[in-house]
Amino acid sequence: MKRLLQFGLAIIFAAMLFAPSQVSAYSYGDANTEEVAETFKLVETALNGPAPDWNAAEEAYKVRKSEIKSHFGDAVASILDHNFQAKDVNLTLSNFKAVLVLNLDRRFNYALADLNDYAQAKLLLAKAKSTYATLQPHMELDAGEIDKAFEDALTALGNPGLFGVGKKEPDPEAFKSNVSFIQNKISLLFPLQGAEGEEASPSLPVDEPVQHAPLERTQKTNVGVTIVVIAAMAAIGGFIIWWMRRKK
Amino acid sequence: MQRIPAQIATWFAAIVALIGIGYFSLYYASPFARSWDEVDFALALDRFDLLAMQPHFPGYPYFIIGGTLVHHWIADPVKALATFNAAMALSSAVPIYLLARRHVNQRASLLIAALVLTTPYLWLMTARPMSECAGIALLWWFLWSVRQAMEYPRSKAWHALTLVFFGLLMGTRLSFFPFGTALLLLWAYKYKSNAGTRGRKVRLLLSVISACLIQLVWVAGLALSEGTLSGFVKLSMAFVKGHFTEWGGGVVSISMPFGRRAVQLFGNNLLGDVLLSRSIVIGILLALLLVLVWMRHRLISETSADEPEHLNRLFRIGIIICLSVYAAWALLGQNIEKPRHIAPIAGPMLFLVYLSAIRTAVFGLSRIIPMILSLILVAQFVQGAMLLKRQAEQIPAVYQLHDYLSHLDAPFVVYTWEETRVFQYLKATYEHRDIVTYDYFKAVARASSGQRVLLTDKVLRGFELQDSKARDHVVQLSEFKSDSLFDPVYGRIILYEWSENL
Repeated sequence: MKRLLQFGLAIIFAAMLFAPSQVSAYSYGDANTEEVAETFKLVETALNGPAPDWNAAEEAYKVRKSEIKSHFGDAVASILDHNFQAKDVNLTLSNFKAVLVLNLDRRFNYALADLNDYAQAKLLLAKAKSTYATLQPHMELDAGEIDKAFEDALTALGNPGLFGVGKKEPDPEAFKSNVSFIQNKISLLFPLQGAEGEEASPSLPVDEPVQHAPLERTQKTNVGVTIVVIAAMAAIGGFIIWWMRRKK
Repeated sequence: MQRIPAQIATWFAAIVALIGIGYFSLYYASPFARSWDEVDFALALDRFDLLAMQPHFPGYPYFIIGGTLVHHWIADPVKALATFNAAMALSSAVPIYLLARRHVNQRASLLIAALVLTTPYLWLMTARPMSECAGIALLWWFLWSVRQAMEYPRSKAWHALTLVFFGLLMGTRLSFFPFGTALLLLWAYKYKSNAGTRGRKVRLLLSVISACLIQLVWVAGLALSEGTLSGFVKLSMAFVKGHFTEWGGGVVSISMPFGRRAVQLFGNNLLGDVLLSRSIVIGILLALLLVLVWMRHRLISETSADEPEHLNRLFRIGIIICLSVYAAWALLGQNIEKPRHIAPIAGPMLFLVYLSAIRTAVFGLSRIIPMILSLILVAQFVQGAMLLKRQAEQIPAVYQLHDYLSHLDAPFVVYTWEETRVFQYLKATYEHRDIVTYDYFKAVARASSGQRVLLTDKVLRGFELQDSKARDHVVQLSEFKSDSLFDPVYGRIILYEWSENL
């Protein structure tokens, strides 16, 4: 009896130790966030107001620069570089918006190529949606129409269902038509402008480096996590056995 | 002469109460998806999609499956989930009765089941589309199976049943994991009572492995809802990564000192909201009961120490340990603003209180204690039914806000915190967005010129933490209220209009 009580107290103590140390509620991240779009928000925030903070804006841009370069080409990156150097708020923001449009196309294109991989296509579509949501406050368009197209595109991806319940077959044609509807609505709104103000090929070739995966594969970390979990479970099991023996 | 009618009356009252719980739960099933979480669950019935947060991580697959089955007959997803909850809650009368039956007679056991299930706050949860209610019902089944496995420490079947119920519990409400303590205690007990037999270590190890394998069932179900295992891993990684790169995160997290947190959790949330549902009458009756029990508690422990009583005592201590572990988890790891997080400990707590009360009644209190218990039953039933009706009829503040905004003409955009999820569920046609960071808000508000910019009090409070002058830029437009027992966080919403030049 007494032992059982002690055991209980030991467990409570252990639970206190393993409980999250910071006294605040846990939360899960939003898998839908798109980093290029988040960077744009930071830049936009820094450049807002009568005294734009160019240092903060450039810091944020630098972090994302290599990505922008590899996804959208040197030309795009150097235009942005130029805008930042010239400290031209309007041009910087409007060209960054053009980059977001390029990003939207990039996510859509990979989703179209990956239609058979449900999880991948869905994640890419979510990133596209997140990119669009960042642009949305700057557009004078019927948001409802585009939101619906995103929703229909998601439905068109099908659904494996939960334990097979609610299973839906994908409809690639519907996906394609909804995606091109969105692209047609947005693509010409934010043209990329060269340093001198002339339009620099609005339909910039989006031939992306083939070796560049659309999303970083995280297989490596996954193996690591698995090993750690197995090791931890083995350690806990070993501890229980040892503890039981000692009690004898 | 007098005893027989009293007995029949107790039977009658308890059965009427149980039927009433079922009837009122269905009749007054809440038609509203009043919060972010409720919307998540409701949307999941039409399309299960973790990435779209329908439902939010970690998925609650068994709850959604149950709701989906009911959804075949009931078109409204919110009502479908509430109906599933009601069925689960009613089913839990069985384990509560069987557990009580080990300590007291049939009549008293039925009374205890009715008393626990009429606890108004728990009853309110029955009529809402949240997984807590189904989780609490499964918790009862799990505790009952643990008690059965204690009775037959060598039986593999009872032990397997325990593991199955724990799997169902975790797949319904993962945040109830501290109740796994009961499983650990059971293993310790089995190990001890198998002393001297060969292979008890192997058996213990097998138990642990089987427990993990049974959890894999729902994890695998979740994983396959993303098509493939690698897809699920990708998604989980994106969630974890999102957790660290979340933009603007942590800007407005308000930390509360530990002492105040504890008072809020145990004083306001547990005692005021969950146990008493803000009813003074129930409070007085329960206090009276506790005083009587406390006066006589020595007498109980001095009597019988035979074998079944020994197991019963172990079980009661085990429950207290589990409740403590869960309370510690709720205190440290759960959102303090939502009383429902502490609700799972209320049922077992009250169960123990009622049990000791009935056992105390033998010692010269055989009239007063049954009388108080009956009064509690009546008071709880009246309060519960009243609250249930109000929960179903009172328009939640966030719905009122939606109604107000739907009738507002001029082009406008409204910035919110979690309200935006309910607007989305209601298919709002106006522009609405959630926002956290003040500087970014200012940039976007400037960009959308020509539109009125509205924001809610939660947003404004967040802004004030970032810039104390934020309030100077707003004018109050309107205020919306609903009962904070139903809407602990969004029971009062104030709508402001923003103007940069104020």
